[in-house]
Amino acid sequence: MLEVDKLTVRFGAVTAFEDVDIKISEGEIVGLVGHNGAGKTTLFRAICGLEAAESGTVKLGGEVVTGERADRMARRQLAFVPQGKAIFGEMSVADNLRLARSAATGQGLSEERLFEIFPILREKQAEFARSLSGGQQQMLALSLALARGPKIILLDEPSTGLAPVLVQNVFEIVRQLNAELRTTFLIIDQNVEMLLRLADRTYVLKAGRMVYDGPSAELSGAALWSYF
Amino acid sequence: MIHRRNLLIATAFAALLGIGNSAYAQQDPIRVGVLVGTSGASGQIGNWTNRGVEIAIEELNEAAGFQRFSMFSEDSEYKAQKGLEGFNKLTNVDGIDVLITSGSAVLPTIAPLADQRELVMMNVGAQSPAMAGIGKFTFSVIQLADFDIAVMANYAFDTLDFQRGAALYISNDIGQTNVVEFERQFTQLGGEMVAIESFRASDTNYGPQVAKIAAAQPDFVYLVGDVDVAAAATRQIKALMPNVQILTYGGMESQLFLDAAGAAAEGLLYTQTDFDPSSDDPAIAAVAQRYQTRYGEDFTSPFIGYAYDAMMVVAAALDAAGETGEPLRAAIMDRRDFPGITGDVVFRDDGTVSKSVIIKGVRDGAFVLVDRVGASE
Amino acid sequence: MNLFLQLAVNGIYAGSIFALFGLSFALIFATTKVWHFAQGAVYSGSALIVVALATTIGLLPAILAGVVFATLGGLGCQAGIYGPLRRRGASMLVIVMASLGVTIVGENLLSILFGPSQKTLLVDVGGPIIAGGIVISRAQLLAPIIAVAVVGLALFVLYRTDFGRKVQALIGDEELMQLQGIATGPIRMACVAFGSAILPIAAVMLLLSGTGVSPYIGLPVVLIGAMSLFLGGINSMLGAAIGGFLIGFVENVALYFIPSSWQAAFTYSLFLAIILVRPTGLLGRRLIQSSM
Repeated sequence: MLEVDKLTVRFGAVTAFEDVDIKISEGEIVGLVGHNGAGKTTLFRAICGLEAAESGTVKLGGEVVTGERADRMARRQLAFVPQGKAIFGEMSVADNLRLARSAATGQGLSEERLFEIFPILREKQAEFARSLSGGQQQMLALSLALARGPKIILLDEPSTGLAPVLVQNVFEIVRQLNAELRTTFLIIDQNVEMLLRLADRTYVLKAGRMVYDGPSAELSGAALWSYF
Repeated sequence: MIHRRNLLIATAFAALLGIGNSAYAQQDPIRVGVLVGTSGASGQIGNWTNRGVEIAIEELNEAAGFQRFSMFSEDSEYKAQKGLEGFNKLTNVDGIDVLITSGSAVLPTIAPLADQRELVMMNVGAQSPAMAGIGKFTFSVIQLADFDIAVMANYAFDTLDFQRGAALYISNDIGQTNVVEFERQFTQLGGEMVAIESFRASDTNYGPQVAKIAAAQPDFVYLVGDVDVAAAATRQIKALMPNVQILTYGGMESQLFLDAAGAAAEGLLYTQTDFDPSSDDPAIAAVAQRYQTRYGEDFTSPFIGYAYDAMMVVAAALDAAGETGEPLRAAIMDRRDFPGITGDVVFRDDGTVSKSVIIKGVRDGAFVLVDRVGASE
Repeated sequence: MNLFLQLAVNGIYAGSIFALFGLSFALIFATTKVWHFAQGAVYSGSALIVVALATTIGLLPAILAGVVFATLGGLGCQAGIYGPLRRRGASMLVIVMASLGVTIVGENLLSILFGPSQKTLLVDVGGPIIAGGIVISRAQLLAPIIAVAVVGLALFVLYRTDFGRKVQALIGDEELMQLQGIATGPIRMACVAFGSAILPIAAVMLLLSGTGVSPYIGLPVVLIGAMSLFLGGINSMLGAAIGGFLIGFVENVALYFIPSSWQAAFTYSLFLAIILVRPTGLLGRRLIQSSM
């Protein structure tokens, strides 16, 4: 599905990450953990075409797509939901969804299906997206990705600003989508314990280098903290 | 070009062999600076000035048989700061011997510097009354505005029998001084100024001002502005007040004004130096011919004439003085009276001139003589 | 009273035109994030073309030529200057200076091509309508209709079409929009083209009433556009149009109370007062970020 090979991104003299390898198969849920500043978000941005890589390759479905523009990557059914308020605040909830659907390339979820998953969005569809609560905004951000029907979704801190019970909800939805539609996920989250329970497999990024790649279960307790 | 090069070679040979036909032949040309605004909305007048000097120099050089004068031009945009920069470049870099210039904002800045440098300066365009006595080395070839304005105020009150006047003017020194002077003259005669409105030089829409003037129901509108601006204003005045009389001054007399104002120009009255560019007078006809040949355009503006006359005054006085600077200034003041195509140039003690003024107007899309009421002295 | 009504008529006229200036500037700023000063040269250039061609090829073809010039001019600035500078990581200040540079070079080029003086449109559009002592020219009748039509069209497209939603998204968050799989370039270019194309339309409204045009009238137009943007609120097209209308209307009606020489000072003072009281503008929610 997604293969990243020896990818390196630098900003001038500062190295964001170096020689990073990732390999994800279809239908997997994969976690990515690491310190703040370990390069996780930059790695996501580089994969989806928002940062230029200095070297290395990104392959999607077997095709080399390194250096492609973000909008082209999105049309290859790769979705990236950035951290926090990844919605169009000055547009209504309904217009947000219409925009995403108008750009759909895959078999996206219908508005009806999204409203089933997130009933609150149906209630609020006429309101400005900015007027939604933090949790509702996160649901809308996720909906924008789902409406386009991507094969793989990169989620950056989906639980930011959410109450613990809502985090459970979001992760539950990820599990559902993965089960129903075989959507592949690569997820960064501060709620490491919960993420490890969700993800089949986890990568650990430390100071710009990948230091662990293996089953999430083996990363509990002391084993996990040794990487931080 | 070839002609000029041949001339240069000939002059160089003459100089080498010491067989010059004149005492100047072995010297460098006299450097004539021209400092006027050639860009900006008033660039047209500046371009006319440059051309007036150019054809005068062409004529003088041909008559001398060598390059007696050379010309250096700078753009002042008719602004004080730009004018000062241009003056410094002309004097320090180009090393000019004489300066021909205009601009009521520029002259007060550079006149004291010209006095310090003993540089004779000819004013060929600034009509503000403040130009009188502005510097010992400054001479105005153009009539200052106060005399023109008095003629126009009198004509409006006595001949046209107007009581209620209005003014629309460009908000700069020229506009302000002209309108203040007009109001003084017109009210002294017994008239009343019922509306006085101004606009910024950058404005292109005068609707608000014209509306206020229209509400005051004046007999006439005294209009002061650069040619292009005044043409647009004329159209806008006539759109709102089809029957009002527009009075203005000689700066408008150009094809540019007629083209831009169109039918609205009809009936306009203005004061002008008693000078007719299309006259049969051989001196004027010769200059008109030279102008037509060189630029492919008709000789229409008196501003070409003022510049031409100024250059001729310099050349004539130089014949007597032999050198520029104080001797040239003294020679001009000694002789005082010079012939000119825009009328005889007769300098007063304060360096200003007195010329006949007439009333002209637009009839059937052309400038025509209306009345000689103002012809003086 | 007559004077007040006449000034109100003039105010609606000027306001209608200024609304288009506001819309043009706001649309281009919102979608490119560039203070597009070169819009001044695009404006005066297209107006000069209309004036120069109207007498030979007729008014409507001349307007079309002006629209083509403005559109190409606007697109040229974006594709030839702002875009490449941005891709090379130039700061906003550099881009603003480049834009000012284009304006000055443009003014000089136009001055060489068309001469420095003010020109007026010599097309007979029929005399004014005089009703109860109020003079209403044809242009004054036409301008509000055109302004409402253009602003209405822009708002309809913006809020009622798929394309408009893309424009809104581009204004809101360009990166997020790319992540939806939508290429931002063509949408930005379409907005620059529309914002530029309405400039000669506005210019013609002014020209029809005898207002002159010179190579040097561009910057005041940009200034009005920028003031409208601040007044109406950042990223609000309706706000900018209303802001522009208010500037034109107030500037005229104020003359009932103040001498015309105070007109500019009054307008700017009022503008400052409003901005001090409501820094986000009338319809805006956000402060304009200083990204220089």
